[in-house]
Amino acid sequence: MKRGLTVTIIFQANSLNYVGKIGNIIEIKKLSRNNGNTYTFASRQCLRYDIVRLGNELFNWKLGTVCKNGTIQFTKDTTIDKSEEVDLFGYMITESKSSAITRPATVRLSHAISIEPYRSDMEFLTSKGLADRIGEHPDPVNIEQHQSFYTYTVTIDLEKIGVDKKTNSDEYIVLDNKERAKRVNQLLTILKVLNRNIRGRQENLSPLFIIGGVYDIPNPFFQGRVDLLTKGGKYYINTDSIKDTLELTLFDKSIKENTYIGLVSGIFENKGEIEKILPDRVLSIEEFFKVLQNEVKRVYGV
Amino acid sequence: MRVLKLKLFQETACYKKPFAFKTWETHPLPPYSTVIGMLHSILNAEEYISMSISVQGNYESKFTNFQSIYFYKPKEITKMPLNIHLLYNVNLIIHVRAENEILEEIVFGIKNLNEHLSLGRKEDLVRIDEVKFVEVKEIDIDELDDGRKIECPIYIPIEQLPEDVWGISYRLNWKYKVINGLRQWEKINVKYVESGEIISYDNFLQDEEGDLIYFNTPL
Repeated sequence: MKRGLTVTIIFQANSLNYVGKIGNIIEIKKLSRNNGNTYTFASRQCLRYDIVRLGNELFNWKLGTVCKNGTIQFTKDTTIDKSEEVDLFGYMITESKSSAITRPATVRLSHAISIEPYRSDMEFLTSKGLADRIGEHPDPVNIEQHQSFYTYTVTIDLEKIGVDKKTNSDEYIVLDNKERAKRVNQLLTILKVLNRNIRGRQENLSPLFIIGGVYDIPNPFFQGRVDLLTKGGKYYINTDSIKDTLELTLFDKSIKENTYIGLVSGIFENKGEIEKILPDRVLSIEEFFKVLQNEVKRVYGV
Repeated sequence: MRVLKLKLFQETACYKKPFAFKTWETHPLPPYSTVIGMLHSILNAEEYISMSISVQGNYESKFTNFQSIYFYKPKEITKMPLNIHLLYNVNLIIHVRAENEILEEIVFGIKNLNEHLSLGRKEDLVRIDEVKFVEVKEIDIDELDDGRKIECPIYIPIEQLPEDVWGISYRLNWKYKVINGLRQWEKINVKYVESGEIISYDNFLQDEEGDLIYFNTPL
């Protein structure tokens, strides 16, 4: 049985995740690399937040019930049959003097890390409009800005979706396969249209390039292997690393035959080259998700 | 001697140091207990399975993520945002020595995984790049003209540390016994030796692909 779904995505957006304030500068989350450049990133926690937000908005996902006893956390009766959120992203329910009840996430996300280096772009703004009304000085603020392509990876443990051990019992909650397939496919639809509301903007995280599939061995094959090249102000998908990954076999199981690519035309210059490395399986984003969702239905036999 | 060799990649990972409470600092490589935990979960082990491992690898850089962490206080459980140190682009080479049957079971376990592997925290995903058996042999240092350069940062237990090799001391968790409901850890003193150091006095183990090996427990 195929047990692992993984996709690696490229999207384009402006600053997505802030650390906080240093003086009057609002800083973005960043990391440095060996090549001396700085890159910005949106943490997996913020991606999770927006996926669940959209699940609730689009598919009426029930958000896990939350309480505050010492800390803010899910209530004990938040179980996977009642909440899509805890089925996909797990929970930890703690209690004094006993060990925590946990469910590991069945859907895991990487940080969305920018592909283009951060070059200290800033946005300057003030509250002049309001300040003028009362003859006060405006409060200026600097916000770090980074318009870039970003990449992140999603993995889904298909066998574990919709299956959870009941608290203090040896029994399991097992949802029927139709519901399991439905949840995975709703999640895929969310990834297709993902967006994030941040500082008054709505950033579109919808994939411009996506590669992945459903595999016998759960392994994030394309994580760290999707990259862009720039030449003459134009963007190219780095096909070398993808080609090498596709040729990889793990225990004689080929990755290539289960892999699809989806892309938006007109963004990357080397669509022709990409089509050559995966003939007939380079699709539009819409088609990519359709193929993957049918594959998910096949895995669950619905 | 035939051992199992795993090549792994992690885009980001935090191998937390045991007493790092105010910020989650990370070891430069996963400690033995972390690796053994992953192998035991591949084996679906319910008790300790005897094995010996060698850990080496490199990372590109380190960065921090500000993130909510749960704490157990005597009377309650609280949540507080903390800085988490993360390694970026980690490549690992792990050698495992055990009974042949156990090594075969690890391979079977990886072929039949029902979830994506992690190493460190649950969210620190692992990309498995290679799983293979390799032959190990001892290299006689006297047969080498210029000694052996360490190409890849590696943990070397101090009993096995070559005389003129320098490294950073770590006391790594290895395995535990539960005593009065608490984990009592067996520790191993190692040096984290960075690339560029040269071994010129002692014999060492090397696999058929030319990678060094220093097992955490004696032969």
